[in-house]
Amino acid sequence: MEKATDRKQEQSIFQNDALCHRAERKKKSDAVVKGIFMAIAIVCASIIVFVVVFVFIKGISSFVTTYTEEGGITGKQNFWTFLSHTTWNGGAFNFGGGYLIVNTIFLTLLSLILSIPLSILTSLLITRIAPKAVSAVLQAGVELLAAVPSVIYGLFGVGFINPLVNGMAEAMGMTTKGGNSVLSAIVVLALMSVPTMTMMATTAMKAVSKNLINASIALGASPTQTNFKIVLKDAQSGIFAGIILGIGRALGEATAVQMVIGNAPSGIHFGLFESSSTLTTQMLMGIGEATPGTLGYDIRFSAGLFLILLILVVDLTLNHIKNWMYATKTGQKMKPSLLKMFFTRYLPMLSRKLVSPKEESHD
Amino acid sequence: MRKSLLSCSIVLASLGLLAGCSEPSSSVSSSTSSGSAEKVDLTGETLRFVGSTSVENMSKRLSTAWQNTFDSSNKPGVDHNHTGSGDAYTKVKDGTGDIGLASREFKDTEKGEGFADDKICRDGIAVIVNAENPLANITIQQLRDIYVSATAIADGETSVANFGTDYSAEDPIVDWNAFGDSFTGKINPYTRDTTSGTRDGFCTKIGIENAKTKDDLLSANVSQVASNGDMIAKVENDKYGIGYCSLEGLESHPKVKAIKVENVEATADTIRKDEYPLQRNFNYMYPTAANGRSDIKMALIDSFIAYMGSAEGQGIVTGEGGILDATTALPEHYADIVAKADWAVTLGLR
Repeated sequence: MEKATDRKQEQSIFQNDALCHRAERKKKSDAVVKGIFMAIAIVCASIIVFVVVFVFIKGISSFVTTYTEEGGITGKQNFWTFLSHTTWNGGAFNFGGGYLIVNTIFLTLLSLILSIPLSILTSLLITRIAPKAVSAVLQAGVELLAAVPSVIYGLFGVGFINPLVNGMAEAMGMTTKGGNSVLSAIVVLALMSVPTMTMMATTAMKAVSKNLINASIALGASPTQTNFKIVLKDAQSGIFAGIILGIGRALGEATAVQMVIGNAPSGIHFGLFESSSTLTTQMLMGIGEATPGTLGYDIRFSAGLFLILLILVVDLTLNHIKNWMYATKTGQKMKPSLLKMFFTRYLPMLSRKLVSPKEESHD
Repeated sequence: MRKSLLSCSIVLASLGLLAGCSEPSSSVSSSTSSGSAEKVDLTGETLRFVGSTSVENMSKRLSTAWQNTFDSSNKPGVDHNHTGSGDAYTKVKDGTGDIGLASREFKDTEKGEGFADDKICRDGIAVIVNAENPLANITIQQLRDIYVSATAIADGETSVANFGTDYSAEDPIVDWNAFGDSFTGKINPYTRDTTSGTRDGFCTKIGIENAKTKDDLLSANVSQVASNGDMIAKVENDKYGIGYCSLEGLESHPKVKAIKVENVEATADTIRKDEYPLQRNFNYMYPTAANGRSDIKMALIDSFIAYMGSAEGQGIVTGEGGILDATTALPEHYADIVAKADWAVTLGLR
């Protein structure tokens, strides 16, 4: 009996040895692959960090270094006048960029008013209402639209939307600059964000559990009621993710907007038929002739810095709202954000250490 | 994981080093003693053009034609990097360019020892309106009244210190019916952005020189356009628009028309005789001291400048819309110039 168990133990030890070797090899190759992926991820992440740091350094330099303009005048741009002055180029060391932030936000908000209903209703059509063949065609169409480059949207705006807006304005008795106006820019931006938003919303709506929909219909709700009260509500975090992507595209669009917005050199414009300009279009204006090393070149980086900060703030807020939506949907508790953790955990820890360091060092 | 991180960083570092080392190689092959012309290898040299974007098209045509005068097996390279008139001097000075082009005059700070500059041709700035606009003539004072900011006029800031010239205060013109009752509507003036040489020329010639870099001196109603072509496109689509652009691009656009300024039409003739007021020069500058450039490169520079002045080169300049001064002597053919020049020996052309 002992011999049998001994032999069994021997066999199992022998098998374990081979298994151990194999397991060790697997562990090693796993570690190598993990390392390669980690390195790739570091490179990708560092590119973003590099870009932000580069723009930050160049953007700040227009406020801290002294430039020499034509005629030998030296000086630097004052940060507060840059924020408050409402003309982009008011002469030597007199740039203004704060008003562009207002214009950009205004344009984006109004384009959202157009694009959000359009994209949500389109994706409802694609996922819930249209027959399979039609919805496949529509989906393909939307995906194609998402791949169209922005300059084509700009050309479409110049050729089709500008004359339309011009005609509309003339019918209302107002004049526009050949149709170049805030309204054209809003329409073009909405057209550009709709495909992305629709694709994300479609994915989110397709993921709504069939049980929910069937339960709703079984309880006597009409299909439309189901669509709006159940499907939309369940897919809201996905729809919101699509909206975040759409906002990102609208905030950062330069070429297409510059072709249709009229590029006013100064001022905050809220009128629909007035020409205006945004952070991106003003950065693009005249970039071919700007000489590196002058204030006129570095000030574009300052405008870019504003844009990056704006996008960062908008994205963080919206992501927070999206996480809250997802948490309420799944009933999970939300992971506390970095900001909250900073104030509730790290700051007290730091303050405790600062207040009573001597007690710690006794240990 | 440390190992793969190390290997990745080594690969990246080596790539970075490789990217950094890009020296232009200049080789002069040893001359063969067959025949009177010594064979000089020109393929290693590249003539670099920098400066204004307004002169870009003209310079590209000139450089291609000049390049083709060489043997097809022994052509020098040509490189264009047009980033604005401001870069013409800076890049030729620090050696990253060989010929600098500008659509404005070179300033005193841009001239100096070791550099020479000259004029290529004149260029006219046309004032354009939509073809539906019946306006045929405009005065310089009216142009100022359209473009200058009403607040600057109202605040009495029409001084030399502000505008760069003595600007008599008149009322700003905002509606087309100031020019006649047949056409009414709010005027939409268009301008280029502040880095443009065309804007520089326009503002200087109508007397509001400081407005070339100060947007708040211009009317708040003004719209910026991105280029000459964009200006024409915008005025084409706007019945009430007025703008300015370089004279050369106007021929094939029936929907805009150039109007007379001070009763003088913009033609090559009136510009040459200095009758049409809105004009500016295209200039070029080149180094006369080598400063690290090879003898072959200096000879190539001389060769290009000679080509520009030859009959063929001048023909290209005129073909691109440049306006040459009337000269009593006809320009020589390039082949004749080559037969006499010293640089032709350095380049192995004779």
